[in-house]
Amino acid sequence: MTLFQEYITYWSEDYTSILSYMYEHIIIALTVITLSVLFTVPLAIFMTKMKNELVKTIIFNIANVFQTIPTIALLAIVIPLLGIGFVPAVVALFLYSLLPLLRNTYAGMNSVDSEIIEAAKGMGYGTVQRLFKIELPVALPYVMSGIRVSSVYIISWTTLAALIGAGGLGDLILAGIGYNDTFMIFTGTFIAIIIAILLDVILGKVEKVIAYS
Amino acid sequence: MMTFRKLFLVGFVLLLTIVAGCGDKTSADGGQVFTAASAKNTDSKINVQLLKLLVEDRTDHEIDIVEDLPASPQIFAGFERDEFDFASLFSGEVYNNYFDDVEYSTDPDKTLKQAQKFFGEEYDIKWYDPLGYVNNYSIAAKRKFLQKNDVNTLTELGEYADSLTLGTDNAWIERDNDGYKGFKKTYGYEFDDARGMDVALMYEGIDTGELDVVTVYTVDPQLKEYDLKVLEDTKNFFPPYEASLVAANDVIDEYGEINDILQSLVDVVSTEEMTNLIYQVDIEKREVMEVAKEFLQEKGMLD
Amino acid sequence: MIELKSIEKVYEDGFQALKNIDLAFEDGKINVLIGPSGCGKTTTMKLLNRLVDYTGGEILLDGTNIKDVNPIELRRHMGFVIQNIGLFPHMTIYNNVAAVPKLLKWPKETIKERVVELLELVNLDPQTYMNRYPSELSGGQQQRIGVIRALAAEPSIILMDEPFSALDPISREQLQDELLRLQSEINKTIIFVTHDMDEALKIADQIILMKDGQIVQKGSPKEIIANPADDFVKDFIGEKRLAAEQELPPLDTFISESFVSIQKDRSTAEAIEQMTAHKITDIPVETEEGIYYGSINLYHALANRDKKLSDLIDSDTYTVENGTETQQVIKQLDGTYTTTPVIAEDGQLVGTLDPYKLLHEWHVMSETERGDQ
Ligand SMILES: Nc1ncnc2c1ncn2[C@@H]1O[C@H](COP(=O)(O)OP(=O)(O)OP(=O)(O)O)[C@@H](O)[C@H]1O
Ligand SMILES: [Mg+2]
Repeated sequence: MTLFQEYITYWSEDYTSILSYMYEHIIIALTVITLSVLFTVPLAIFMTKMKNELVKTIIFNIANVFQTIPTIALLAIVIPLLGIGFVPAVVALFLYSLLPLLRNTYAGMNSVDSEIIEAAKGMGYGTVQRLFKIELPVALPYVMSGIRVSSVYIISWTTLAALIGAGGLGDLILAGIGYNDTFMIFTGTFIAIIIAILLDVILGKVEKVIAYS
Repeated sequence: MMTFRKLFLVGFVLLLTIVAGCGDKTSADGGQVFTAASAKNTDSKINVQLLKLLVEDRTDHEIDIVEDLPASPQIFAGFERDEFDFASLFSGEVYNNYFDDVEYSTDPDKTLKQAQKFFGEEYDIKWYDPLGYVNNYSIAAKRKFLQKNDVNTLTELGEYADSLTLGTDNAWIERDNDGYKGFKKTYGYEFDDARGMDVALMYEGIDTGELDVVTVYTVDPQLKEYDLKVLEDTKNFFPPYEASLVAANDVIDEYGEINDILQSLVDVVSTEEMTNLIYQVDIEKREVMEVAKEFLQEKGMLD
Repeated sequence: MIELKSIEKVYEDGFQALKNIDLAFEDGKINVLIGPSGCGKTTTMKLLNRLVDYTGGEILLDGTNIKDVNPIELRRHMGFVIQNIGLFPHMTIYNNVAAVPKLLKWPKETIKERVVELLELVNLDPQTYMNRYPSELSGGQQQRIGVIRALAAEPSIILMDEPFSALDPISREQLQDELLRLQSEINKTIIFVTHDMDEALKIADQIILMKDGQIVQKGSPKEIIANPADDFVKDFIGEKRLAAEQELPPLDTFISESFVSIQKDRSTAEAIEQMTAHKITDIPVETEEGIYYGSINLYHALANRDKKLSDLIDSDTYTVENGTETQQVIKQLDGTYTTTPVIAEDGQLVGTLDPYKLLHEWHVMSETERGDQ
């Protein structure tokens, strides 16, 4: 049997478990992405309106701290509070994703030319109108590219969910490492890459749709 | 300009040393420098440390230790590329998806023979007889729970299985013969939920009550730490895991003195002794080197 | 009418940007704020739509204190062209221009008509440009959009902060001309900030010259040039402009009061006689009511003694309208050195111009100017 045939056999025997790992992976990653976008984007926008530099620095530092905690340590901290499985995995990944998303969104919002804001103000846009009609749409490409980059990270980090019993493609990869099975490692990695690429493409499309509406 | 050239020169020399290092290195005493590999488990780390201490004490050679490799496949890959000269491995690994014509058995001797034969031929290594302790893979649960329900064996556990969550390493669920699939076939029951995860977090999980049963190595000090009890494998399902030191054939053929040392490490550590050594490292946080040295001194193998 | 009374502005960092500003902007006039960088022009302008709040004094808009007006409402009724355009990059030209009308919830149809009208006003074809994005327009086109965006909701007051500063001289002049043409049609109160004195002189009804947060001088371009308040103003206007605008006396000075003319119903012989007597080659012809009719050339008359005077009148000769700038007249003289009739607005012949005297004056002025350099 050629390697390729063997690989086909592997798929035909194991496809249910592969697909369920994939499904778990996608669900975890999407939950994390949704939650962190919903939390971080408004926070970053709020921070751009904030005058107090100290508070901003503190927020960034908190987000930074989560990034520097070693994964295993963070997961160990989460277990007594949230147990094992889906919830703690999502929470831990959420904490990890805060910094890149916060930083990218904040930078995106700040990239809006002060002249454009001044023009909008001077033309009589109220604060809320200005945010939704001018600042957000202008910053959208930057904010979206931040979301896209972070989403790709999150897809890759989601393999860590396997460490805390939440499954996902990390399970397949780790099992492959322990069980001496290259097909598993390859498949887990490959599917994770495909998901990341697809998500990036989809978000790109979403960006276009929002931009033209 | 001068500094630039200097930098270049230094870099070049460094590069040369590194390239040379890939070939035969020379120890401080004029002997060879070998490499010994160990996975993440503490007993393997102790075993290669025992070897290192004796070799460096009794010969002019030195041993570098490469630790924390994820699992056995990475160690064998190292032998294949001539990167490793020694390692500590378990006989039961022979059932881990390496060979198609290996015959599954839970008999310790048969397992050892098969490991020595199959791995020995495949990787051109010598698989010594075990160090003496048994570190079986098995299933454990909270002592309190077991006492309350008067459960002592894996068969008896079956009655409660559909309300129990199992925590295990990520690979066990995927293994055929000696994994969860085989377990379900042999014992005829499955747990309510089985979750693969990091071993350290697995103990954390059973401690906080998130998990009810976990797969363990019988020498894990966490058994004592978290008051867990290993269930008796009444159906002889789990393959024997006896630890042996292994060595590349070309090394022991050339250096007979090292072969002697490896032979002297056969059957020197009892299961009780090993549990104690691991406890000192994992729970008391002592250095592997100190613990190993103390042990050899107690045995009179080292001054 | 907008009145600034003893306005003071101290920024949060303690910097006093404006000191005791007293100023009135009359309805329908172009008011130009000019002065060196950092003198407080933009600050003054932003006080009007409350992008900046003053710290002392008061501003009255048609008698009401602007602090009593909702700033958002106030801004929607004041056009605003910011320094460096500030078009919204994510909106089409249509949406940029329609921004304030949309905020004011105008009906769609009205907005559309208005945008088309405005684009046509600045010579940009609506079909071509409406759906483009700002980045797809040239700098000059963008500035035009910046200007018409401010006009869109028909504000009675328009604030323009260096709207043409980023343009090449030719586009700038075009836009200035367009602005003047527009203003003659729409008659807004315009507050216009610039660095460029030529621009100010060209478009202003009132120039306000500022320095270090204070007004140095205000008045019409003519007043300021005629009477610069101090050396700073003189410097700012520039010697050359002062020379050009000031040292040539008005046209009246060059009109001969004792000019010769002949009435239309006289004879040819009489005309020849008059010209010979006064040693001139041309004589203007007027009607009984004193309206200029044409002129007779001596040589032409001598060659046609037998013809009637009315047949010899050349009505195409060069004339000058009374009140034309002297500078302008010099540019138009064609070098024939003949007597040039000066005509009033109602057609009355008011005198003849002495080209020799005029040229002499100009030569003298040019000499001094060259000597100054
Ligand atoms: N937000 C602010 N805080 C403190 N000082 C300010 C602020 N804005 C402007 N200034 C200062 O006020 C002075 C006047 O500024 P303004 O913008 O009105 O100048 P300008 O006359 O428009 O200059 P330019 O021709 O360069 O645009 C400057 O010295 C400036 O530094
Ligand atoms: Mg300015």
